[in-house]
Amino acid sequence: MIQFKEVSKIFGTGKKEVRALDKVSFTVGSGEIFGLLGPNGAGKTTSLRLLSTLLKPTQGQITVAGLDTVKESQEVRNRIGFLSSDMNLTGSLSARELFRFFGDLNHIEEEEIANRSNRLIGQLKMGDFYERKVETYSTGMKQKALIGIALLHDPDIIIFDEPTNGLDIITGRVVLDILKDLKNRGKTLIVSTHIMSIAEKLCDRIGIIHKGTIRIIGTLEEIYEKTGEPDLEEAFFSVIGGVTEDEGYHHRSKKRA
Amino acid sequence: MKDIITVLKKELRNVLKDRRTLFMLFGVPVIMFLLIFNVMGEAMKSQEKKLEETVYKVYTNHAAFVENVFRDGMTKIELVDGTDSIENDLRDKRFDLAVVVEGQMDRLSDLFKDETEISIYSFSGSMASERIARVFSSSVNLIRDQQLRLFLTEAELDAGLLDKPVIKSINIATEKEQAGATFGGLLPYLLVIYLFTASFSVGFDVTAGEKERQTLTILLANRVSRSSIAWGKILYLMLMNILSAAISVVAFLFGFSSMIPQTGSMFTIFTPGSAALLFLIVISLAVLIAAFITVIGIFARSVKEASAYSLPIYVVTILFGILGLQSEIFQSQGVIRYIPLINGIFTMKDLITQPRLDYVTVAITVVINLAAAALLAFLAAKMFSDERFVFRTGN
Ligand SMILES: Nc1ncnc2c1ncn2[C@@H]1O[C@H](COP(=O)(O)OP(=O)(O)OP(=O)(O)O)[C@@H](O)[C@H]1O
Ligand SMILES: [Mg+2]
Repeated sequence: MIQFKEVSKIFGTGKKEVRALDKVSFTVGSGEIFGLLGPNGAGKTTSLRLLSTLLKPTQGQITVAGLDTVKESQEVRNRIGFLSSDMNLTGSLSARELFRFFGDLNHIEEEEIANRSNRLIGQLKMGDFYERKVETYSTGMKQKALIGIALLHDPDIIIFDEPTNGLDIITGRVVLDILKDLKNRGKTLIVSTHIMSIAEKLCDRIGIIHKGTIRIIGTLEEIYEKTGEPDLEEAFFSVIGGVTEDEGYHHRSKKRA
Repeated sequence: MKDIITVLKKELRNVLKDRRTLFMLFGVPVIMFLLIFNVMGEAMKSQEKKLEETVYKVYTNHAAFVENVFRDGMTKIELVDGTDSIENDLRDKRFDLAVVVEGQMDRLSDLFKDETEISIYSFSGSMASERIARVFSSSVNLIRDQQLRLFLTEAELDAGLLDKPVIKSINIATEKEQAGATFGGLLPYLLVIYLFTASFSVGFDVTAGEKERQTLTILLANRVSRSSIAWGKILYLMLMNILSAAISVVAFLFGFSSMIPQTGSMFTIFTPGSAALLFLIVISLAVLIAAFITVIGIFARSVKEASAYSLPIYVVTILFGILGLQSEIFQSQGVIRYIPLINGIFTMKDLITQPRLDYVTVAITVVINLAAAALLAFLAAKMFSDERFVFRTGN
């Protein structure tokens, strides 16, 4: 369903060059929940922006349901729902009005927009604020509205970058339930996170990404087996090579750059 | 096309619910102009009244003559005794006027004696001084004419000679043309300035502002085409530009006419035909400015940066506006009609001041501006799909 082939992404040129992704390859099968796990600056957001056509790979190719993200970007966007941790909502419109707007943009019938909006408002527990201006929302309310926007056109492929970022455990649970529900409805999901428990509870397969390269990929069991560690957190540290050594290396390399 | 309307409608709905922005855009200019002109009008009236009621202080070495000049009592004066330095006392406003008469002058007929010389000292740094000096000079001239008339009559000559030759001034401009000359330069200039005002707030808000606030990627992650986004925003901005310009200019002209009553005639400068053509030009300018602002807004990292980038163009436009208002160096039929944006100012001016409508120039102006706008819109669409501008990668 989703295929990264030797994808590299370089930002900037010359001295300011940042190699955010280096020959990343992986596939996500139809109906799977794939977790992209990695520390800050690993390249998670970059990978997902590439996948959602907002960025273009410097090298390599990404396909979504056989469609190229560069050459057929509009068709790709038609099939995906994208939520990114750095998205924000402002303005005087309410969540319902924004649902309506994005429904219109996706050429959904008016009646159908209303049905889907109501369903999402119920599922996301937005009942007591969906008519208010989004600029008055809290972080969690905004996140719910953004998830609603990403899901409104009922995409087959859902790309969520840190969907529980800034959410309390109650709201976090609501979001996880929605992700599970989407999986049950046969959707393909790719979710980035740096929270182990989410990856453990939710994902069919996990890729650990660090400094722009995929270090290990597989089901939970496969990862335990390959690393010889008892849980994901230990496996994570053994894969990225410990905290202190790594942080030191990171700073040095940044200074030199 | 449907997507363009959807984007446009969303922006409109958003701004309609945003009372503060609406007030800044449409309320403030109205209040501002009505206030400014009313205050200015009142100030002018009270100034005039004050000058009329003032008792002017005059120093002279010939009180009898000065009192004679002002004997009609229309202007009230008070004589001041003695001075060490006329210049210093004038400057210090101890008196407003000094009249020094040289030579023996006992009767008015002595005005014509060779040795008679009247020096009138005034200080143009003071309105009162300027005014009283003017009144005094013209009164002296009147008295001289009266004396001449007496002489001529006494010598049994025709006193009517003094009224020769007969001079008649005839201005062939119609009321429309006179008003046109006054507003021909002013109106286009104002229109162009106010076509920009909405851009700076609303225009940068829906481009650079959305980038800054991180709301743009939500839209960009959708299937909607980039050119629909670009055109939706451009049309939205165009509407806001036209609305705010119309409201500002009407408020300005109303304010202006409340200060200077004869400006009421400005409404006679338009025929339905010229008004329609003017509207066409305004639309073409509004689209062009909207497209330009959109491109700048996508290019810039922040609203602040966008304002800084657009300032030079704004200033150049205003400069050309002033030139167009002040002089006839540029003819709208010349090369100038091929320069986008600027051509609008000159074509509008001609439209208002010239008796015959020049359809060719109007057509060229509109087509050039629309073409430039389309080009910029195309560029804006490209920029919306370019990560270098959306995420500011690259450098
Ligand atoms: N627009 C950009 N311009 C330049 N460099 C960028 C840009 N976006 C990301 N990078 C760089 O690419 C690298 C990967 O960043 P990315 O945002 O993908 O990390 P991440 O895994 O999402 O981290 P986090 O957990 O902190 O969100 C970082 O070194 C970052 O500085
Ligand atoms: Mg990230």
